[in-house]
Amino acid sequence: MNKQEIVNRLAKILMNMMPSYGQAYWQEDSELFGVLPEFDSMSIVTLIGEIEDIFDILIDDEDIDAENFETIGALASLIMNMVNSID
Amino acid sequence: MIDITAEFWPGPNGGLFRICRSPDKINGHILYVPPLFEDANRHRHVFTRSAISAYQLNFKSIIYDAIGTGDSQKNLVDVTLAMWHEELLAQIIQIRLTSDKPLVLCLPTSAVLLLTTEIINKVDVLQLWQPEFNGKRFVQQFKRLALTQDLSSIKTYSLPSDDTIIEIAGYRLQHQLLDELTTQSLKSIFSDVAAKVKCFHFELLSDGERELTLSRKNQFQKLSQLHLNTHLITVQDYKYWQASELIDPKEFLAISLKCLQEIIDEG
Repeated sequence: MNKQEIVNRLAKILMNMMPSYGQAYWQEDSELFGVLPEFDSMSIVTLIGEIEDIFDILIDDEDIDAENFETIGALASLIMNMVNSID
Repeated sequence: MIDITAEFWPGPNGGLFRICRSPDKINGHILYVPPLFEDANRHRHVFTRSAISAYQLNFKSIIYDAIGTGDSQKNLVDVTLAMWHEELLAQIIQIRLTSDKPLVLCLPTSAVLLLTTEIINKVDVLQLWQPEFNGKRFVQQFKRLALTQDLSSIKTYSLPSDDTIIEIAGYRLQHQLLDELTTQSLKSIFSDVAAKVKCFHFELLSDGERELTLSRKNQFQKLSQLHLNTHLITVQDYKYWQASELIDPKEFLAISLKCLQEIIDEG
């Protein structure tokens, strides 16, 4: 799975979580943490649950930091590293 | 005009705030079991919509707040899992004492962690809405709320703890409650369920999802192995409880209602 595919999957999850943002908003460089008021603690935990479910990975609590949740691209990189390390 | 009453029902561990909708002629009963903590707020509007629709099919419904939550008595910090089991069982027994009509439990997401084999065997139908049977995973997610709050400069959540009490995301509760929830699993809940209990297992697939994820598939397969009378229903609709705004899952509610109609048709 390449990074763009992961970005696309993340965009769909986030669209479901925050439907008021149009499809066009969700790009690799879209900012998340600290920018979107809806992207609060509950949203982050929900997103983590969906990511673990969809990508069949376990996110280490140590990886739950502001940097990894700053943009869709940053999150996609984290996921890609985890998926590739499993492969 | 819907006959609706709000009441404090004298549960075994304190008064439960309940909203009851009672049609003149009763074809069946629905008890909406609240999921845990923040999940309860995210499903309430769908419970209401479902109950209103079910009323048109002459289903009497009860929506309640678990003890220590919402408008019911006691504080969460005084609650154990056994208390939640007892109050659910007591409500089922009361319905059974006064009616032989079909009894349906609706359980979204983490609400299934409130089930026991004894409870399931006293009802006719389970509607499981995207159930989360893995207590360990649920508790891990709940504890992550404290972690994620640490990312923010505005700190309103904390994880101060002594030996017995913990506070996460504004919820002050006993460690013991989380420990008890951790032990809940498909196997512990469904180990000896009677074959007559019909189980509808709803999975919502949001935009772009064509099939269940591997972990969801595995959970369903385990459930259907433990309980053969389980029926998977996939619905293309919003996972409304994950949304930051109120979403009306029309397609899901329509199919859920159709399952209730089937119960009436089957007599």
